[in-house]
Amino acid sequence: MTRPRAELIRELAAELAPRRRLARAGAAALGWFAAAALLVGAATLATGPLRPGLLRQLATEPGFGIDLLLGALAAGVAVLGLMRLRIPGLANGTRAALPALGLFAAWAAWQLVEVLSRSAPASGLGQRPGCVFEVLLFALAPLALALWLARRAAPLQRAWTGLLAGVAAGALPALAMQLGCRYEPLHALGFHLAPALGVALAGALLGPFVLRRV
Amino acid sequence: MARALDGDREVYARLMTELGGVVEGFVRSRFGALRDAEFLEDCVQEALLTVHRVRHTWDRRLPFRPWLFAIVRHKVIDLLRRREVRRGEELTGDEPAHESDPAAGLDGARLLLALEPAYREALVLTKLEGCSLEEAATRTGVSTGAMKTRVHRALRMLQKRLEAEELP
Repeated sequence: MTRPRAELIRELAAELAPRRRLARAGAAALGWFAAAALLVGAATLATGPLRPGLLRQLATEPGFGIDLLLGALAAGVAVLGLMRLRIPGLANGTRAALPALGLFAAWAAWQLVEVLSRSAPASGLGQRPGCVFEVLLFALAPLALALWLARRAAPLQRAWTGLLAGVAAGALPALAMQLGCRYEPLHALGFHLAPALGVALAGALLGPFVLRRV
Repeated sequence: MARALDGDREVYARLMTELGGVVEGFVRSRFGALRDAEFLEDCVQEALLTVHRVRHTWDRRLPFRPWLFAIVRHKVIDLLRRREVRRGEELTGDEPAHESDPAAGLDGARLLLALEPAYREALVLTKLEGCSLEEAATRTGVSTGAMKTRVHRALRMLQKRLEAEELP
């Protein structure tokens, strides 16, 4: 049986206490990006060196720059969407997720473009034998951080929020592997981007369980 | 709202009272004059509780209404979804059958009236009239599975319409 509304309001007013305000979506996204990039960067460097000739490749192969840009944009746009979704009324699930998913798809498509357009054979320099597991492992802390930040707010669409947390958390270590592991588009698709997609799906599945029901 | 959040309890109580009226008007305008007054009050109180619980997520630099109505829409749909389970548990086979027209009393329920008749009927019977899925299926002459599907689809349509509509 529902109790009188006035009684409820009296109780709510009586227990009114100041609460710490949330950071704005952009600031929270930037904070997550910096922390996650540090974590992933440190983990990548701790487990092996960056690929030899990386700087020269960046200077001479514009396609590699586009590759990195698409990966970084996918992670950045995903976390921005996540930080918007965690605040009621600021974003809608589909509209918040589509740009990040589109960028991730463009990143994957770029690998295919590279497969078709590359004339030189792939170099085996920088091969990391366990890169697929490294992507999964390095994504754990950023994913946990993203979900924790979302949990502190009030995401109304928990699966979408979890999905965006997964896209952002998966894209960063995949990007790190593009810097540390062998640079070969088909390898990147199967061993760097595919596990990142797995992290995204795991985020979507975890979201409804980990995030509080509003 | 900003003053209330700064800890002024009197202002907060006044705000909550006003919000209660706003939420009540919102639900009435979409679901009509409900025969089940408890549902209406549940919607209002759940919305107020949620607003209280997540008040720290409102950004003072942004308008208040989109934030508030996103919560209200979410709670109304959430309450309707959960209602199915509760009603199913509460009702026994001895409950009298509802003989009245399920569409009656929906004056002003523009959200419900915008749904296709079969979906509207499914929603009204199971969510607002308090019928179990089995009772609603018997009354409308469809299987329980078909009724369950209709209710599920009707809720999704309702959610989409609520999300798409202009703010009041």
